[in-house]
Amino acid sequence: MDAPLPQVDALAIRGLKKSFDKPVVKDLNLQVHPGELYALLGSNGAGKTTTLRMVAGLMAPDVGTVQIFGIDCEKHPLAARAVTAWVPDEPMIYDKLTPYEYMALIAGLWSVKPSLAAQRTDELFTILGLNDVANQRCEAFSRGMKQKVALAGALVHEPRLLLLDEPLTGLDAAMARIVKDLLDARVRGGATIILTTHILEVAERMASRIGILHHGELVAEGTFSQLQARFGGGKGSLEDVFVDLVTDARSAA
Amino acid sequence: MTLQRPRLVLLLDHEFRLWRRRFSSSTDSKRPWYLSRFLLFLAVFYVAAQAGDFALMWSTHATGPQPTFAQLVGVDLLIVAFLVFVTITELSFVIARAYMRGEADLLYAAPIPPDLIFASRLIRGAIGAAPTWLLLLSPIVNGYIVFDGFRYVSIYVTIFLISGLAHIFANLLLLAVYQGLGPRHTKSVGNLMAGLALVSFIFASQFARFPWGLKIIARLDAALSAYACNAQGWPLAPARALLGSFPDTFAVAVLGIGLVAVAVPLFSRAYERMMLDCGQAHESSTRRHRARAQLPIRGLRLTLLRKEFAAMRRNPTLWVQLLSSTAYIIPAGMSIGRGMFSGDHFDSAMLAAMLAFMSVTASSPVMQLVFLNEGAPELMATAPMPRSFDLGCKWQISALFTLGFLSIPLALVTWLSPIAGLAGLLFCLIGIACHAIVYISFVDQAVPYRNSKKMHLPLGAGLLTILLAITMGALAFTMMRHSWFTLAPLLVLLATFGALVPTSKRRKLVLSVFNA
Ligand SMILES: Nc1ncnc2c1ncn2[C@@H]1O[C@H](COP(=O)(O)OP(=O)(O)OP(=O)(O)O)[C@@H](O)[C@H]1O
Ligand SMILES: [Mg+2]
Repeated sequence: MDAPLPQVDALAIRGLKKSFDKPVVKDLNLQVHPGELYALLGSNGAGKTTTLRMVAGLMAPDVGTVQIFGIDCEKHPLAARAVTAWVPDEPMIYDKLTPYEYMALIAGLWSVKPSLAAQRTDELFTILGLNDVANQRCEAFSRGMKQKVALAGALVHEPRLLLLDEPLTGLDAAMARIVKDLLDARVRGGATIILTTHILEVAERMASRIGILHHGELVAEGTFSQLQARFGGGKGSLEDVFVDLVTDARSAA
Repeated sequence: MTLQRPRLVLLLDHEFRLWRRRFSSSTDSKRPWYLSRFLLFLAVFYVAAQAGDFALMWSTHATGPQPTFAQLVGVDLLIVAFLVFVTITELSFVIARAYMRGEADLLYAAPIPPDLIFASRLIRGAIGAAPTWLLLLSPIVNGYIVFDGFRYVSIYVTIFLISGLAHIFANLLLLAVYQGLGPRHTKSVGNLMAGLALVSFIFASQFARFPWGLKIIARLDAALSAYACNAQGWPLAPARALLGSFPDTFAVAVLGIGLVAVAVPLFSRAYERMMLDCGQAHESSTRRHRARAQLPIRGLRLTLLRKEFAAMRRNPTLWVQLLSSTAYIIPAGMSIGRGMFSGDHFDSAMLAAMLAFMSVTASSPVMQLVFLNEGAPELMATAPMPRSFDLGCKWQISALFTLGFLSIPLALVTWLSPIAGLAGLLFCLIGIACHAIVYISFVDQAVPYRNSKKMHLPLGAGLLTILLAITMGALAFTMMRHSWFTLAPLLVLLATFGALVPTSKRRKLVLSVFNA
């Protein structure tokens, strides 16, 4: 990594609000520290995707600020994007490109040197088992294969902050394991990852911290054992905690 | 430091690669004859058009009268119509691109100034718009060059420039619609505008024929040179450029580049918002679409009919397409009527054939929706009812719906001439039937089904090809008889054919037709 930065948050969200027909994100405050794997959980329509798209600079918040490694996303969007990668829940892969060409495009957009990009592409494709199809056009790919190509694209420019929206849906068990290991390795290498998932076991085992979003508000945050202690009476799985919290919030509302 | 390509070059290279590969899919590359048949068709068509045009030029070249003022206005109208026409076809392209799901997420998440993305889109679109029109109009331009002199080569440059300008206008137009109406309505309103503009274009081109008789511009070069002398002032620069004036061609080029240079910094932010917004809006509409396809299926004809009607009612794009398809029928009907009054029955019969081909294009959006509704073929194939029953219902509903739409223009034609009306009805029925057969076999191919009858496809394709041949003959014939404005239906026909190409489903369909 570069010269040590002062301890600045990888992601700092302050007072974030967004409404469409109704408020979707309500006054959200969130800090993610460098080198963390942060899992953002929440029921369908809780506002997870909306939050991540605002962080990725694809949607302007109504109110509030987003800072990535101290860079204000509104004032310096290009600098913020340069260190960030965004993988949406249904990533778009050009049908008419091969995975190699797709990687070259992404590397070019992030100004990665071609030789370095080629080397990283080879490594990623080997890990993700994409070498056999690397020169075929993506049009016939299954959902999981597209997901893998998108993930490889996000990793090729070695972002310091990775935003992954449901990265494991569509992957088979063996591949999900490989992807989890890959993400773990990135975190150990110093990258910061924020992911949303509905597979709670993943969050339970992988995440350093977990945030639970409900109707656009952060209703709980902490490590798994903290959540367990606070909401699950010190035992039970994350699923129990999650279901309790979401139903509590529902009946309270 | 390794050499890195500037990012504008990267984006342009990306755009053009997508463009080059638009027509090919990996399955085609395994079976290249698909594409070669298609190219063969294009070549045959082109040679026929060129031959017809030379014949026309040759027969009228020596005897052309001096142009009148009305003819000059005609040239002017033609040029404006061309710009409008290209703009609206480009508008559909721009809309499709804006609603391409998720692409904006990919590009705008990258650390690239939005100016570069907008600029690369404009440049690619402006260049990409030209080849179709160059190909389409080249038989006519070749006629000029052969009969009237080599300086008319510059018309090629002008066509290139005008289609580029049209693409830029189309982008600005869609931006304006988006700014006013937001992502939910941009698509349908944009399509509606394209449809309405098409209708007015067709009407204008037809009405232009009436006051000045059938042979408006018998000798075009005389008309054009007189026009070039008379047309003063900068607003007419594009028109003069189209007539072979080099300084004006240059002026149009400067205008185009200037427009890009001004539009990019001014509108790239708005463009970014539009692409990101529309890319998401499309997502929610496909979700609704899928949910709709999962209606419970009972083995009742009425349920099926009701389901298809409900699906159609909620599809604004369908109505717009139908509207513009109907517009083709009216000029054809008018020509038939005129032919009947003047006693030119051969002419009328030919135009009735054209009407039939139009009915194919009119039924196309209905059939697409009915037969190829997302996920519906699979769903229906797994439902406990005979396949033929489902397909029969789809067939009937497409025919009913298309005929319902054609009934107004058909009534108009019948009012002008009962025989032409009858012929038109007959041809429309044939057109719809051929079309349905092709669609049915397409569905059968998409869903391998127990009792699928593969012979549908050769039969339907054969019939369609015959119809197409008749239509082409009718066009060549009317071109020789009438005026340059008869080219309007030709443009429409070819644009329709062009519209058949972009989406993969249609493309496969067209390719399979010529592969049969
Ligand atoms: N572009 C949009 N226009 C209007 N409403 C939107 C838009 N995007 C999201 N919404 C609404 O915002 C709410 C939150 O959506 P979001 O996609 O953020 O949820 P989510 O937490 O990601 O849910 P899921 O777990 O299903 O992915 C939903 O009610 C959705 O309908
Ligand atoms: Mg989501």
